[in-house]
Amino acid sequence: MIHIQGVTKIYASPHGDVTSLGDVDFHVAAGQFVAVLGRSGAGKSSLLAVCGGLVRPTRGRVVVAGHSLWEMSERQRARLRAVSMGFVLQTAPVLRSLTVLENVLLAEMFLPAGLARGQQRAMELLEQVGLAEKARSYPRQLSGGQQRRVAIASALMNAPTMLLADEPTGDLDVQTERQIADLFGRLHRDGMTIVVVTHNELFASLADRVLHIEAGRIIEESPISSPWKAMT
Amino acid sequence: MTIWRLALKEAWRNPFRTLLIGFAVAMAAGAMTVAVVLLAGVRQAAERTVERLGADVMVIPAGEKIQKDFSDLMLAGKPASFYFNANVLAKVAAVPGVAAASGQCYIETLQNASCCSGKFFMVGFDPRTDFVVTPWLKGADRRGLPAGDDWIIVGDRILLRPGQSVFLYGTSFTVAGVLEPTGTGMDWSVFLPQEGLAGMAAAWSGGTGRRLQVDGGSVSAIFVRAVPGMDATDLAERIERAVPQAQAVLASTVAGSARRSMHGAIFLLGGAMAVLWAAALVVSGMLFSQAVRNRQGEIGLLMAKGADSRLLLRLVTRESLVVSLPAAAVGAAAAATILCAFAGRLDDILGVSSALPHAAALARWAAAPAGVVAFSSMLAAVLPSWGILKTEPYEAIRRGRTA
Repeated sequence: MIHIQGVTKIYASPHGDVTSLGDVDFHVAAGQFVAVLGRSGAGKSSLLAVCGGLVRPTRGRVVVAGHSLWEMSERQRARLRAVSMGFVLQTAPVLRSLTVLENVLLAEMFLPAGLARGQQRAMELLEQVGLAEKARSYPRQLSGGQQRRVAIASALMNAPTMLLADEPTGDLDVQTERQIADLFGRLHRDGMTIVVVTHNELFASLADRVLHIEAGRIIEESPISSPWKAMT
Repeated sequence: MTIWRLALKEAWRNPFRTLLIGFAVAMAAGAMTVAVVLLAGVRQAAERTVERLGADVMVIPAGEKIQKDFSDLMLAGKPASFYFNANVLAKVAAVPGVAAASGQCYIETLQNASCCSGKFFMVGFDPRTDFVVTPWLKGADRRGLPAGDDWIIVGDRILLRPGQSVFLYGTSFTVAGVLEPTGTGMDWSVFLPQEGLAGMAAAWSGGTGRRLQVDGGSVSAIFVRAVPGMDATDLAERIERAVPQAQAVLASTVAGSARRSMHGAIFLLGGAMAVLWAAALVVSGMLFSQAVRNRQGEIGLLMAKGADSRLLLRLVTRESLVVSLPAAAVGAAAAATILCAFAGRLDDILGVSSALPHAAALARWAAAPAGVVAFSSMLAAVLPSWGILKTEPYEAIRRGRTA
């Protein structure tokens, strides 16, 4: 599903070049659940962005669902994201000008005609993340954790085959964290490919594989088998 | 969810920014509307006068001031009085190349006279030779003017109708006809036969001891039509050689004179318009690009969801248009309304008759500046944002984190 070969990403900064990812090789099979762990600044979010074609690597090749992302036009890449990918971003989870329901429906704006699923599915997704009663609220009326749950519902609106999530359980209380873990578990069982960047080892224990990343390099990869995973 | 709806919601989320941009755009559109309507109106009024005179050359007493007074009189119906000796008309008519010549006599209008109130200009003319006034009579009034000299013809803006009687300087006249609207000084004028004018002037004392200064048989201006094929400039030179105390004014000179007299106003209006327009562009561009910069994270989110840079450009364009289009329309409409409310005063200031066009033309003239301001404001908003829209999605997300 996702093949990353020899990817290096270097950012220019006023203090000189910063290597965010250094010669990374990484493969995710269809239907796999992969968790990426590491300290802040280790390159986790950059790796997720590379997987989703959100950033062009300085070197290396990224193939997603059989498409070499950087041999596609910008429009084709955008179309692939609209149809096949769902993103949960850490820093910009939702649009502040839209209601919760409109944020979830937003994904349909970029879908080709005929693929729209409508308001009923949006409400179902809000039910799943426990926010159906907040459908008409604006993001400023929600907590950070609730906004994150709206972002998750929104990322699932286009029924993606691949979910890329950056700290989906950040700011969440234990009960909601559990609710989201259950949701991710269900999505995984339904065959969705999931890559999650997280600090939360408990959440990572849901994954088939856990990558440890440090200074832009994958330093360890381990399969997981945890009691929590067994529960979900 | 549509792009328009998203744009509207974004404008609604920032009412202060929306109002500020809207106000700047409305002011610029209003200023441009005023400038365009007035400049075009004055130009059109002048050209209309030339076209409608029906004369190729006008002969008036020599002198720069008289020429200026004559232009004001023709364009705005502003009263003036200057006279030739009666024999000048015959001399002009005898100049080779003159097909027709008709004299008019302008009466000095008494201020605060007990006879009449209101603003109008009185012109004595000769119905037997006239080719300037009578062609403008409204259809039903063309059937024939009455005999005698106790009748008048009035311009469209004079509130009298055929058959009505009116006292002018103590003499009773019957309205024999009304002119079609000409958009010239003729609209504000009362035309009466030369003999009637002379009789009225002789009879009037006004109770003040002052008398109307009309020399019987005097002529103020002679309207000349050239024979077919005759060059108007050559004819004017011939007339000036034949009648040294006269100056021959070409019809086009009247319009040119009006345009020249407007140079100062044009400069002021154009300057004010340019300043307000530039201010609107700066305000719109600065506030809008700042808003886009502050929303880089959200723009990154839209890209992650499948928006490409073209769709984002459409979104930002529409965000700008939902503010600038209504604001420009409101500004232009407000300016047009204000112009209409002060139409009479504007005519006085600008020295023309009917500077404002009719409603449909006014709407067209106001729509054009509104469109130009809205479009330029949209460009000013979108161009500085273009660099941000071309950013890679992850870069936009990262920048949004620090914005």
